[in-house]
Amino acid sequence: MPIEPGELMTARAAIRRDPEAIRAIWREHRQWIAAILLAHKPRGVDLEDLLQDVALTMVRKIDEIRDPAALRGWLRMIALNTALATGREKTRRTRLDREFRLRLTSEPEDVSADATEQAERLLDLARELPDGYREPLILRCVRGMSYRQIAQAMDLPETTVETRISRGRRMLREKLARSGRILEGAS
Amino acid sequence: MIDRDILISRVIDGEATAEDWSALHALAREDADIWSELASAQQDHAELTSAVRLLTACADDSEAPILEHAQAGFSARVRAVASWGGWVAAAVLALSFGLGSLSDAPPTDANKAGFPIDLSKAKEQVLPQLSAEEALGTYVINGVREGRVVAMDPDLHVMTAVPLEAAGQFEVVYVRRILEKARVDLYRISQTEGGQFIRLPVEEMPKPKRAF
Repeated sequence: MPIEPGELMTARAAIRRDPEAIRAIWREHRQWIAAILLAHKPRGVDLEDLLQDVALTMVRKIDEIRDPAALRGWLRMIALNTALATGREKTRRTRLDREFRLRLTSEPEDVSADATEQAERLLDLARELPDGYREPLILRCVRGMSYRQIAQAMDLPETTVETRISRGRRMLREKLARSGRILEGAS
Repeated sequence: MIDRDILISRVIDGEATAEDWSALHALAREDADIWSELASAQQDHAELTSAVRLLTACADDSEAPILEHAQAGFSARVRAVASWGGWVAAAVLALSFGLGSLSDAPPTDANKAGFPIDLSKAKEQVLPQLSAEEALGTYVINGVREGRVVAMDPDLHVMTAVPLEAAGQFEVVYVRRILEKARVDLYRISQTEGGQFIRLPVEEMPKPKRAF
């Protein structure tokens, strides 16, 4: 599947370990990588920790990529492996984090926690979808992720991605109908 | 005939062609429930999108940990670590918080930084039954209770990461940030011509630089 010329140039530079290109690659892809982690990580595992793990692996191994056009697929595999490896661990959070975690933000805690909890509940339902449907459905929610880009990342034909997203939406709709609309009344 | 789910999905994604819309209207003539189905699907997508964006918002602050100084040797690493707290480091060098006694001797590492204990005696003062992590937790909880600790940043800020031989493992050096407050008399340490250290009141706090 073709890749944008600009992205290809940046990928080549990153493979040569150009620091600016590596930074640019990360900024370009970090949102959908986070979405993949979200789709596959167990609940309760800190997304930021996983994201940092993926970033470290990317920096460490980017010069091992043979085909710059396969960058998205390669990044997806790192994210997938990171999320799955974490699933095999009991927990990554330290006791200190759990018990003494305090926030620097002045944002009212209850409002933020409430919105996050509702988002997590919806994601829990989405995570119950079969693997092949869950990931493209969640990726489609990332700003700027087109069918084509999802297809590149998942190494699937665009038509398959479209079908899976539409089926995934129906499955989620049915789950929501069964569980009641969990975000009903949320602002 | 285009699949019903795909039609709805294309409308949601703004990908529906004129042909798709015609097919949707044709379906609706036979089954008007499709409009309600479309509305539900649109709502689900909007809610899922909000949820995904909320939960992945942390990615906006994530940066690739490029270790340009990794091959630059020890001195460069020291510079890199020292630069983490620009103004704090400057304050440690130039200011005393007025804790500890003033003497002819230069300030110790402990009282320079305003530490409540002299780290050189730490071995005698820490509670032996607590792990370092538990002791830190106790410090934070008691600090909050006493009004000294304002917050602890849950993020650890990685300064260096050196790959180890075991695949996927790194030895990382990181900064853990604890935000604290105190009421202090601020002095600038100066030295007389005779070599004696004196402290002079500071009228105005130097403008802090951003630490990170």
